[in-house]
Amino acid sequence: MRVKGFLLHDAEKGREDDTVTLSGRTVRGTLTGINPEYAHMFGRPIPELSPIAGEIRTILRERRKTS
Amino acid sequence: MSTDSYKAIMDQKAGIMRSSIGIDYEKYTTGPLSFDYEAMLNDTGYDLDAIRDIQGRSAVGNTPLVELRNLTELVRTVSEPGKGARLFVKDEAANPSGSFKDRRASLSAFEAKKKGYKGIAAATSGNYGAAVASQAAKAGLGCIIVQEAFDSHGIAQPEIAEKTRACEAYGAEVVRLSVGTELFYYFRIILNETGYFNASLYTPYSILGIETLGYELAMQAKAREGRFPDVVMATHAGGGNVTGTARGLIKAGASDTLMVAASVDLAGLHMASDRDFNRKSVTTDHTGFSVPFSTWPDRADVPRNAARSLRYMDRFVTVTQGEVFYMTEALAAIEGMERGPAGMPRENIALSTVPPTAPPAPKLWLDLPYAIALRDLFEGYKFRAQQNTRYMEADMAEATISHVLDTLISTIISHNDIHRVNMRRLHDLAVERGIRDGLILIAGGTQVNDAMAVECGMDAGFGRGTKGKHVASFIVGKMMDRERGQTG
Repeated sequence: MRVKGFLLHDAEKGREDDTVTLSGRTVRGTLTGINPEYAHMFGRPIPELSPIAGEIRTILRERRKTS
Repeated sequence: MSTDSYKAIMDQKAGIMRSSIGIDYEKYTTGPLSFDYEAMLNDTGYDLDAIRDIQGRSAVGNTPLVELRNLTELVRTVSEPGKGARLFVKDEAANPSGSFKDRRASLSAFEAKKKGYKGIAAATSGNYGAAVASQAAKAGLGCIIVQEAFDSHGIAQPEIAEKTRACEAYGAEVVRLSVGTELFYYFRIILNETGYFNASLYTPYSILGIETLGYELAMQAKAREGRFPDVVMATHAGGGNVTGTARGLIKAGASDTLMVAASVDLAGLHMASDRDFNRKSVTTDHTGFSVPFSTWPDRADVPRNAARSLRYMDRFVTVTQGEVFYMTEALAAIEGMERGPAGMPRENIALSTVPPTAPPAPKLWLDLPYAIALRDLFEGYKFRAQQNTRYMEADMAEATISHVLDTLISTIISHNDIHRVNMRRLHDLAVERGIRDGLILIAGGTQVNDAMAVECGMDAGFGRGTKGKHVASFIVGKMMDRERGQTG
């Protein structure tokens, strides 16, 4: 279980302390990070998906030319 | 900490659920398998107009119905002449937190506020968390979202991490847990500790909140095209989307509209597997949820799940993860609607599911929606259902023994009075082999009735006017009697 909050006392990473969460609960646990960043990302463009837009636009263009 | 022990918390389930939702679910039980579903929903006191009013005041709903002209044309390049239906999408991303889940959260937040709860909590890893946090923020309620966020190596799924961020942006506390049973244990501790309202996805409030989606869909189509849609497709995870949308369609009068449920086929990947957690590219709307939840809805975090999709779906289709990505690309490329990855709206996924040339399926109203869950329900028992008399004669004992059957369900095809003869022979044969006491023998068919079947040695007979649920209830009752007899 991991939860973020405001520490009640100064603490160091790896030490146990109390933190007050956003809902106001006091939760005791080991400090693992200070103001941790949001590190998730979108990743690289997927090569298999990149040609799709061009392919289906071509299909529509061809259809509209012939009709 | 002894009161927080795993067993203690799990044993308190009923009490915690009653105080955190305010519904006495026991009240609706009508038999071993049956309960009064409509009464459970009606007793909430919210009708469609009330819900529309509540949602209107928190900017939820009234999302646009967008015709996908280019996509329809693309489909028609491959469909047979005269086929290739016009495609519309209900753009649920236009809701305040970006998904249809706001509809579900809005009614829970309203109910919590009305009943004087200080806050609301939900166990959810996806869009629903953001919806609950957003509605709580508007209503001035505290909010705790409990997420199944990472695997045992601490590796988080990006879509879930994005929801963590969104929930925190709305001022909610997010408790992040690893995959598995820890989630519901910890969720109950939080409900117990805070006294918050349980905004479960499976309460009547959560389902009633979606009825407006189906209602709007029907009315928008009617206003624009002068008719209701032929087919409505909704994605299926826990079944709420399908259940609520279908109920809304029916309330709008669109009861002939075909309701299709769509799920991403993740056969082989389990929803609660630590190993599989980061091997899938979609976090919800997949068969890991839809198959167990449609067949056994009460596996949820409430005693009676209000999402019961088998009551409403006419057809169930699956798509691959690749098809979802293809359609997501197509939607952006030719319709100018970029949705995803974190805010992928539900209805988009279903576009690729029904081939334009496929004939509509016949409309089904299932009398026994949960019959197919019998195997789950009777864990440890083995069943075999037969459409013929193959196991009738000498085969029966061997079949019973070799398959270790507890119940044999066999349809006896009848000419003249042969069914009476067959029933007696079946009974006598079982007695002769010394296995009669261990079997439940049931006969069914238009020429059978209970008194006649019992007279012929059966445990029961089910004839005209009886339904699958009566058979299932009888089997459950019989099994419970036997277990009581064995233990006491």
